Amino acid sequence: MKRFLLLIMLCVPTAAFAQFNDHDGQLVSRWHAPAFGAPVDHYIWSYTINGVADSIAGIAAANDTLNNAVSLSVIGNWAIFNIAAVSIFGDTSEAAVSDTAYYNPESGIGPPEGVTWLQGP
Amino acid sequence: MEYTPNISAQICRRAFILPLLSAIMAVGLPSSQSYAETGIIYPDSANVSFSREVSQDTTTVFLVNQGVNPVENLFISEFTGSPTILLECVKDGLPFDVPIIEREFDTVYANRYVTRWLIGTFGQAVTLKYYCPGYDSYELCWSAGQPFAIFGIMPQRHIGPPTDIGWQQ
Repeated sequence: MKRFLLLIMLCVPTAAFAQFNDHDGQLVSRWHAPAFGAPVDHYIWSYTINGVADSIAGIAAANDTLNNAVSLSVIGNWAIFNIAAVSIFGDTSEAAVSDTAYYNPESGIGPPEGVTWLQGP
Repeated sequence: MEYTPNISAQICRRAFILPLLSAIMAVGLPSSQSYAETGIIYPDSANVSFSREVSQDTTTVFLVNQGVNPVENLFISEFTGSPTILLECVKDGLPFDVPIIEREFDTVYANRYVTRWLIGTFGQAVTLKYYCPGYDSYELCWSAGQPFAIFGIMPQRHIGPPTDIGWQQ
């Protein structure tokens, strides 16, 4: 029983290890409208960059669920996206938080391409 | 804020009421009256309509959800001439113990009490019945034979958080 539980725990992904590797440092965040509640008037969002809250903040219209507002210049830099919905009555929802995004260009080396045969001498 | 009954005021009102009652009894009281009031429903998209039926000392409010989705987090605010007692509440066909979330006594307007009950979420209909005690006539739940003008259903507003937060390359 203990081995079974340990196996299950190892197989279940946890939020603590969820991360996103961005290859060029240009972060594009996205979201969907709330699943319930009053109609949305607009969204308020912010980025936490390298641990600094509200490094960049802004407002998105109700029909705008895609935002490209931050660049990470140093490999290893990271960011978290925070967003809340504001209803047409002025009430603000709980904030939703993204996984951590890292500026992590592709590493390693790929296989050779275009391998063909030539006539010998 | 809890109210403290004003005994001296009640005595004064009783002294005034007896002659009034005599006059009313001479004319005769209707056994029941029904009103199809729309009240103050906020927001309009709540799709909630209500009607009120008042009989001797008892007021029954009927709420009907005319929309497709359940109505969330409504409360009813009633403005009466005396503190009210909730007799029963039936929500979607089942008895419901509706909590009182606020009760206050307005000292600016004598004899005015505001009671607010939390109805919560309901899909179909709510029937709320309450009683104004302390007097021999239902008149004190009214004003000059008319129901108090302020009666509203104010939804407790709520909005969920955005979903599916993520990144894309």
